[in-house]
Amino acid sequence: MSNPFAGSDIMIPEEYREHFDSYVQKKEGKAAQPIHQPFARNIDMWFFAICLAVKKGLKAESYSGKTYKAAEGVVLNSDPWRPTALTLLALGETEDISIIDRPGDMLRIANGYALAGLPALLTVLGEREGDTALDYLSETVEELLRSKAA
Amino acid sequence: MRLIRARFDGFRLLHNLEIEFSTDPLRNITVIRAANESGKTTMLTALQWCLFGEEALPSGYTPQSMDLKRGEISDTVGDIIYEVTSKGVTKRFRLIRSLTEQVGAGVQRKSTTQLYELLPTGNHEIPNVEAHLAVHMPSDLREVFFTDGDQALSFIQGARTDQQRRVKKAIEQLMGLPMLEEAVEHVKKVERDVRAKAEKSSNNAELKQTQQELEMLETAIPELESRLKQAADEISNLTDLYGKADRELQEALKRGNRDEIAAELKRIQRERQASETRIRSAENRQAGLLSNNVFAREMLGSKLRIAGNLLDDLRKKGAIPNKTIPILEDRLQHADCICGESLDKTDPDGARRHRHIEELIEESRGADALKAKVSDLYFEGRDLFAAGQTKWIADYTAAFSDRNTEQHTYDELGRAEANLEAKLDKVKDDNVQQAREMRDTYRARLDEKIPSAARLEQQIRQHRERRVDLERKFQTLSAREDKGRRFNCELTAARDIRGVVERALEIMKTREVHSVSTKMNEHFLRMIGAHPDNALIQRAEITSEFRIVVFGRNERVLDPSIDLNGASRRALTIAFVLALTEVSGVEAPNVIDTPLGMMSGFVKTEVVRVASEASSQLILFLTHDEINGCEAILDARAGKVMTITNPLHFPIVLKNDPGTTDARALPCDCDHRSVCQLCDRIASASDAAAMEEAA
Repeated sequence: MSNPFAGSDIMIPEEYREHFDSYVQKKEGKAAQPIHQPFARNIDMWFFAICLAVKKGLKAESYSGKTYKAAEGVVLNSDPWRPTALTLLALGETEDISIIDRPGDMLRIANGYALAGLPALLTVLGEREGDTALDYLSETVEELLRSKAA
Repeated sequence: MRLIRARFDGFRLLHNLEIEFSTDPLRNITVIRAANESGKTTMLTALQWCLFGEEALPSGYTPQSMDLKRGEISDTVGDIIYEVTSKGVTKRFRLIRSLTEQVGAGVQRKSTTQLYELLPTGNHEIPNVEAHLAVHMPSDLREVFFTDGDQALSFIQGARTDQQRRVKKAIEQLMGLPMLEEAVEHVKKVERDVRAKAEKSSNNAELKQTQQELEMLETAIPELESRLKQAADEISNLTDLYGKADRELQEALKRGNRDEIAAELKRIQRERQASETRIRSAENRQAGLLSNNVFAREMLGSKLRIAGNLLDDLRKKGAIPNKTIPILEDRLQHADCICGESLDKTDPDGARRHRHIEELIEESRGADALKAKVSDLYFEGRDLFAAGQTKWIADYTAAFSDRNTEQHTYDELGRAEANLEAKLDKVKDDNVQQAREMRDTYRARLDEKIPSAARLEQQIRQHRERRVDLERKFQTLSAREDKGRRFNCELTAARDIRGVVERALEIMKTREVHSVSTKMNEHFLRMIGAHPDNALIQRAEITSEFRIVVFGRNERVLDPSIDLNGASRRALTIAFVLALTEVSGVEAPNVIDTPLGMMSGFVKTEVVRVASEASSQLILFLTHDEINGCEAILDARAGKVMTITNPLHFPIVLKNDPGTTDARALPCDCDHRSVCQLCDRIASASDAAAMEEAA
């Protein structure tokens, strides 16, 4: 299956830019440590936010404020299962098979969940106290998966 | 000899000072209690000076009073009353030694002595005092009967040959062995004289030559023996030094070779780096779990299942074609179907099946674009939405555990690295190398010395054999002469006497050393309370080479200077001194300065008890600390106790002003338990602790 999002951009509210810079391993600058920057790329953090929102049962949100381009849709090519997962998410959300022919709508749905999941993700990261970001996030995920049968 | 009373005037700190000694055989201890720097050692020296003269003073020592100024006249008098029992008769004597000199005068003057026998009828002056004194108290015995705790340690401490020499000298002098040695030399001289007379009376050239050769051998043999003894001493010292250097090398090796530690440190650092890389990799693996498809599948499960159900429905309705085209196309390349039937076009049935497959392919290709997308989504998304076992938690647990294990390894390596760095800091650059070089140097010198000593031994043996031959020849030749016969008889007699004296000397040396050794062992084991069944120290012995050694369990030889604690070392040397004085049979006081240093508890009490039992008269100079803990034994065994105080210790040590600042020891009658206005001291930390303990 080709990547239907290849021509689109992943846009994130400007207010999250700083957080993305904190938790994503940058290629430039100081050496990244996975325990403090658990996400390899912006797309990984964005996708994690989607997963978190869905798992927590949060409602997709919309945003009309200032955004910036956090990633290009073509990045999703590097993990071919990801465009498929986003398509299935849109299908599961709308229960309308024709959605798979509308990449823009599918990306809006995904982004809506990302917008719902990002504050939750930042709350988790903010509560970690002395723990590392990687460990606290991993424990949170483990707790979620144990408590709510998928 | 038993000391009755002593009085000193003008001897350093001692002025107008009189001491009474206990002569009660049941309470034979006299205690002179004094703090450090109060005159104990001075009194020990003064007693020796009075009895033995200037020879007993340390080199450069002057008895002049401390308070005298340069140019002033110093009068020093020692006055001792003692008694001597000989053949059941006890006689009492008074010895007065006096010395007058000018303070600061370069030349030391000799003291004068007067000796009186104290008779009921009056004092009878005895001429030739030194000769009488030598009989009453031989000066050879001075260092054994008058000693101090530190000095006695030299019997077991210091260079091995020095220890041996001191032990040997002490034993030989106490047993009167030098007299026998002198006798041997005397008889040898007589032999030589007789031979010379024989030679003179004879014209026999051969006899003359034999005699000359014998003379030469008589000179050469002692020379060679002396060289051999020197070589043996050097070998003994080198063996000691070699042993010490080897021990140091072993210690240095235990601490480690710097290069080896540095190499090990590098290896650990490399391993730690590799471990760090593995930790990063494990962290990456764990971080990867937060963005992989298993994570997405389990986190998005609810939505994915809805999508999956929709796709399943469509498939059931036929809206999703099977992905059969590649399989069907693949089959057409072969002669048979996957069901096993033939697809051979030459066969009618095969041709029919072939056509049917081609139709199926065409039909599949006819599906519209949406269907294709749905079809792709269905097949590619099945892994995401299909029901299956959850796996993320197991993956996470495994990744976390691997990371922890690696972190543990990393931490362990870190600790090892820190240890090695600390070890490396402690090891000097050249420790091992230096120790090895020292040991090898001593080994090389030993390797050189040992054959040289062996050669000397052989030379001596050959000379002795030659001497025996020549003596026989001389005897034969001289027997031929009339005059020679007479001399030969004299010579035979001299030789026989020499043999007897030499044998007696040898027997005494062996037997007496054994007796001293046995006594010393008895005293020592009692003093340290060693039980033969379970003690760490089993016995002490004086070897035939005059070395004091101690045996531990399993007959392990211990070096007293290394393997014994301070208290046991002192106990051993006091046991040796007591054994010597006992075996010698000489009745004289044992005067010991600060014998109980470094001792406490049982050992301290037992040393006093054993010393009291082994001595005819025991005079102890003790500090307050030494007395502390053995008051009970002193209660029982001390017949006389006095205290001397240095007034200059006020106000730091003494409580009360003694009323003088003269540099002189002040006596009082206080015993080992009491204090008076003069000797009362400000409680020191150790005193306070002792009082607390006693309370």
